[in-house]
Amino acid sequence: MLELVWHPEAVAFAFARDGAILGDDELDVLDNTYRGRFLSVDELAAWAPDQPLADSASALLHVRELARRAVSEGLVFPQLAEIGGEWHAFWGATLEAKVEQALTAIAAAAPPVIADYFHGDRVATVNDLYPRLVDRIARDRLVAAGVRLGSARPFGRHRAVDAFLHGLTSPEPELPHGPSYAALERNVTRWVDRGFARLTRAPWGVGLHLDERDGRLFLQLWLHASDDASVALPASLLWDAGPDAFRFLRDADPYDDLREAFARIRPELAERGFAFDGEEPRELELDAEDAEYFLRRVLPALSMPVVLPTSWTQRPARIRADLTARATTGALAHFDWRLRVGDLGLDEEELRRLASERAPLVHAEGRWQALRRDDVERALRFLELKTSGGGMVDLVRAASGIAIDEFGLELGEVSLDERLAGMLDGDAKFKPLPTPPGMEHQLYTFQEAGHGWLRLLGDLGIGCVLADDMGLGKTVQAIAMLVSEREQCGRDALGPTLVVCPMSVARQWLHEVERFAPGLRVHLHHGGARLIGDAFVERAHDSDLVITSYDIATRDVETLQRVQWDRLLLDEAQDVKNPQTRRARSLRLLRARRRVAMTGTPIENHLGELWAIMDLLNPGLLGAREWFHRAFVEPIQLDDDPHALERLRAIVRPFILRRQKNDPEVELDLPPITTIKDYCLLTTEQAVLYQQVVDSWLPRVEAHEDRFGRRGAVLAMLGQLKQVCNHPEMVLHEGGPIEGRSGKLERLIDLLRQVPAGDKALVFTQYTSFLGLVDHLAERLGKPVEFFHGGLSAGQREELLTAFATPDGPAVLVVSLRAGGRGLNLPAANHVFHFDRWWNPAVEQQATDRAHRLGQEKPVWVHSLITTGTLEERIDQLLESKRELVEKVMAGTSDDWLGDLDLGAIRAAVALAPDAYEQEVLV
Amino acid sequence: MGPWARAWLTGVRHLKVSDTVSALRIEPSLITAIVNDRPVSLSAPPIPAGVWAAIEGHVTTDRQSEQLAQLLEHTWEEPLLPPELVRVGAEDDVAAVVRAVAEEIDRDPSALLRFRGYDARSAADHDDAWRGGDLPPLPPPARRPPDSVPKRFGTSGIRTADGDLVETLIHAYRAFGD
Repeated sequence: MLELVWHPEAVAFAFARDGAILGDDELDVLDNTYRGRFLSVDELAAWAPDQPLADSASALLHVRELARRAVSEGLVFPQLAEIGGEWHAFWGATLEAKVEQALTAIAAAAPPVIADYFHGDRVATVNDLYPRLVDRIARDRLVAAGVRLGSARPFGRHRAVDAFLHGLTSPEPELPHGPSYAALERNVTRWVDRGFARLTRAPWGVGLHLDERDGRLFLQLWLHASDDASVALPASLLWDAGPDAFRFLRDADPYDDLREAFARIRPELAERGFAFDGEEPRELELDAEDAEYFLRRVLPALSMPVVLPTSWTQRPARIRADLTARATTGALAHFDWRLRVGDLGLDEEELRRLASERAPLVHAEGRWQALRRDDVERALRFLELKTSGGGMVDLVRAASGIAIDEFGLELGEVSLDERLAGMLDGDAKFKPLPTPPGMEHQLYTFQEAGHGWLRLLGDLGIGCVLADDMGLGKTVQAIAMLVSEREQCGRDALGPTLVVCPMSVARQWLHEVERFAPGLRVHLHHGGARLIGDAFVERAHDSDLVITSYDIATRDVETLQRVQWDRLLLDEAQDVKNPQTRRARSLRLLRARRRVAMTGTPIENHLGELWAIMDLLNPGLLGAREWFHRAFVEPIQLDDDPHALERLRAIVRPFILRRQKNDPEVELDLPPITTIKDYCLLTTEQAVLYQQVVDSWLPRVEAHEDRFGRRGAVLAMLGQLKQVCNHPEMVLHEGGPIEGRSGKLERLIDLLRQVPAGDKALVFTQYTSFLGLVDHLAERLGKPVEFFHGGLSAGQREELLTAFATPDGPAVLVVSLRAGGRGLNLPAANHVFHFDRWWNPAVEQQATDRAHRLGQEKPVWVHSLITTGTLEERIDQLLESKRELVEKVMAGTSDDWLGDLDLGAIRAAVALAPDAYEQEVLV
Repeated sequence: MGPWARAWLTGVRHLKVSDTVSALRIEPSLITAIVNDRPVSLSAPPIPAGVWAAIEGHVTTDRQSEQLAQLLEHTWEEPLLPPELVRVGAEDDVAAVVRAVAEEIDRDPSALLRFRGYDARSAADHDDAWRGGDLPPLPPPARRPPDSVPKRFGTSGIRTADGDLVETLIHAYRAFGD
């Protein structure tokens, strides 16, 4: 026989006196030790023992039965309490007289042993057990029914209440830290106490309820409290079960009140054909015709409360908008919108009628459905304001449902004609365009595709984003676009394109245009001596391309505004991600017929940037910023909603072209090696230092009469200047901060950041003093960076090279050209950066070759960093133009040939151009 | 009758001395008896053990001390006579038991103290601690909807994201009845 005692630590102990072993726990009961099993409240609430029960177990399980009954009747109330510094939500047990009496009677009948741990007080024992069971049973029932209220991660104004509600409907009562619960506890307690203490005195009135059961519709008579219409019970309950339920809610006589109210409305209803029973009025069944008549004619005229079935109102019907769009010759597309609910079309007249009804109802898909009045009004507003056609942006907004969403409606079916469908298709059906005759560089196949895409969207006036990976030639594709459109339309038919880019890249653009499309008229708007006012406007109109930096564009926005640009091209557009900055606001002021943005980062993964850039390119495409945040940013970033993400991708897909280095269409096309020149600027500090070096060395160079002496001085000066261009610390050795003092280092970091994950990079330098920059480089990149140099032992070199060759090893290896050694085999890397130049092409080639070896499976990119306006740029130009001569002159591997240049050439080479360094611009 | 017994009788409507009360037991929080073969129970929450421990020196078990009654009522706000009793049984039967308890208090004042939780003993003091009586039937179900309680409470004035707290809680209450 199973015994059960209750313990003050909120556990029960189940055991048998006849020696049967029920578990491994032990407890002393009445001075004997028994072996049995402890049961928590959770376990006790669900326990179903199969042994016969002794009196103690019967009594305590009887308490449980009482608790189950109480929960079923809703004899509970919500409570908050602080226990041991933690707040808890739980269901308190209401102790109505009948419950108290029941507990007392159970205690009286229970054997005294149940109270062994309660000093013999049986009443205290059951009173301790009962509320714990009530809370547990209430909680379990809600969890089983799937009722979830509040939030596990509450935020916002209603945090405390949200957490409280969640605590009431989850398995555990503890509330999260954070919200302040004390005020809520006071308010809840006050509300509950008042609710129990006071029984409001207010008469009952009558109302009509529609009930849908088993496919049939019934009109029921209900009683509503006159002071709160939401307090209502059906008249049938009064006839079947008496007045108790009514008297619990209000201090009034339901019989008298019902009789009186019914007498008033009965004639009115009977007149209209709805005759309730006279003695015990309950409900009437309505056939389809009655229902139509009641809902359309009777309901609007009734003054009493009428309640529709919850199935109608809890899930109100949605009004959907169907779109049919076809291409036209004038505007891009014509839109035809139709509204409907289910299979029922709604025109404006019908909507106006519904908007005037108390409870808008439609009969669609074979049944009555309720509409929300708000939805009807929104639908009407949509009909007034909807667009009947538009360009690509309007088409995308319409077909993707954004436009509808903003009205609070749902998009139904979308039918597009073939041409429009093709345009919105993600695998853009555009034609690649071959390299235009005016270009001095053959486009790769994938670049021809990009060229075609840029032209197509450009011709349609649609803003677009070219988001190819770094090194795939975005600039080249843009230049091809500029060249081919002028060849097609005639150079003077188009206005100038304004290219806006980071300051360090402006010169690079200039070089690339000059290199690939020397026929384009290009103007660089930069530096202290740049044109302003009329002079600038005139020059702009005479150019095909004007290049400027973001900083200058912000400063000179008034001048730039005076030009009607054919196109605005934003390079490294991720720099404009914050639409609030002066920079972004200035760009918006520029007048341009069409716009293009270029970026190497996958912007569709960075939602804030995406909105900012899209808003610049195609204003309105993604709606207002706040709406975009609610519709996409919150679901994607906070809730990880894959549907919202997919929907957003579908919307922006027609406007973004992105190819990655390892895409098959790209990879097969690429040459083994691509060389790129990356230009950068000096910082002010570097410029000052550079000039100091020139000023102190040139006189010494000039003073030497003999060649050998001069050569030595020249090489020493060049060496110092090169180190200044690298980083001031390499010359000053002051142990100062590294960041922000070298334009070249910053550019290197930018470029290294764009190396795709999984690829490795080599950085070559002549100077072992680069060691001082390695830690900083690693910190900025957030990746391990190692330095391979002469100071390492053979064992250390071996270890480093092995590590570099493994996928988990360092992603960047800096190699000292001097100590790099011949025969180093580094095919793990496919990105090579020459941080400083050894002006002997053969030596550079060797360094590059270390990456491009047998075993190199990927295409290799070789970058040379060149500081503009300095000797680096001049000597590079010299190398380019005098390649043949230089090859003859340079025998072997030294760059001593520089020392043999004549004085004039040396002076020209080392002169610092006035626009060689960054000027500070406040944005 | 002494003061405790008289106070105990206050509020009892009528006394039928002729009813036979048997098996009267006065325990902590609980008084049980049989009246004409019908069970009667009275209960009230005890005075906390800590209060008894604090006033140990003033407790008199052999007489009905008015000072003790006043000390408990005014200093400790724990009246010796419970303000309310839970009564189980027919009204007349309850009245008979109440009368019988008054007589018992007169005879043995410690009985009242025991009922109020003083000198609580363990269950081992009972003759048959393992045996119970017939369990009472549970009260009949209240024939009212499970959301009656929140409806009785009415609007709380506590806002949630979906409206007033009571509207949200009604969903939970309806689930109790499923």
